[in-house]
Amino acid sequence: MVALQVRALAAAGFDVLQIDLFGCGDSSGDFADANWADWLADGQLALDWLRENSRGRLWLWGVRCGALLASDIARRQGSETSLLFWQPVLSGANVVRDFLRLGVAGELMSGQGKEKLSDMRSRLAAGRTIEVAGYGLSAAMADQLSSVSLACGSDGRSKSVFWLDIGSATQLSPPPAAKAALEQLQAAGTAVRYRAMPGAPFWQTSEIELVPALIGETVALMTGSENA
Amino acid sequence: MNIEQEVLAILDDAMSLKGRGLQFSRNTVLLGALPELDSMAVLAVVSGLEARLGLTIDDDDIDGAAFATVGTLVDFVQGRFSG
Repeated sequence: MVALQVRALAAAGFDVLQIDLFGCGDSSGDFADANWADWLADGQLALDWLRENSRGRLWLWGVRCGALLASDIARRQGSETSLLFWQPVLSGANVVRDFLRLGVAGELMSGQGKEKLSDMRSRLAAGRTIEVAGYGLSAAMADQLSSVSLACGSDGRSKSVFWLDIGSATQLSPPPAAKAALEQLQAAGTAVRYRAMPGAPFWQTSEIELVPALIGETVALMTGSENA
Repeated sequence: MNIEQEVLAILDDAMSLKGRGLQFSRNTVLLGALPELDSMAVLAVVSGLEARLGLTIDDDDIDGAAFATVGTLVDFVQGRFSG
């Protein structure tokens, strides 16, 4: 989906740089050795490269936890950056919790169910790395993530946020927690545009799922704002 | 709100069953019986219950007993509402 979106935006005239963060994708390093500060630095590097190589307005685009990272990077810039979120997670604490929940779910699958989520939290607190589905979450990463939230980017540094969610056909309004975050951003003077569309949650499915409407809507919103 | 219908809709979404999940009954076995119910799907069900029903699910609430059948999951949700 991300690669398709990159091509669609490029075809619409945008310069797009897609990066693999430390320990992810084709980048070097092991996920278990990654931490939030390194990821912020990776993002900053990409931003600096774009500033040198493109003259367009700067947008930071993030999916799920990447939206959290994008908003944290935007907050640290001296100049205004615009943000594009796809199904953003609302806080780093939720990321840690979901990672541990996935670990508990894995234990249920294997029929063991021995370690409880609170046991995993204790192990993290003791400085240990928790491994789930082949990914290691280090104590440092968990600690740094726990202090980040989407709303802490709401200091007026980002003038516009496009927020696109995938919902079910019956639920296309923001869930209560997302609604609160949207209102917080708006209260800080950010122009937020929210769109939800039905589709498969492609970021968590084992089969590759596509949501063409999301790609089309993203291009339409971005192009519209550039021409405004 | 009909909790059973809400739970079926959440299960259907979480496992991308495209409507098949809406036909489940209380006796439908979940864990160990449905290949679509992998750990990501369990996480999606838990997130769905929180987002769509406004439930708060505590750290150690997720256990195998709740995910045994549709009935046990509905009872689990009902327990959260009354508790």
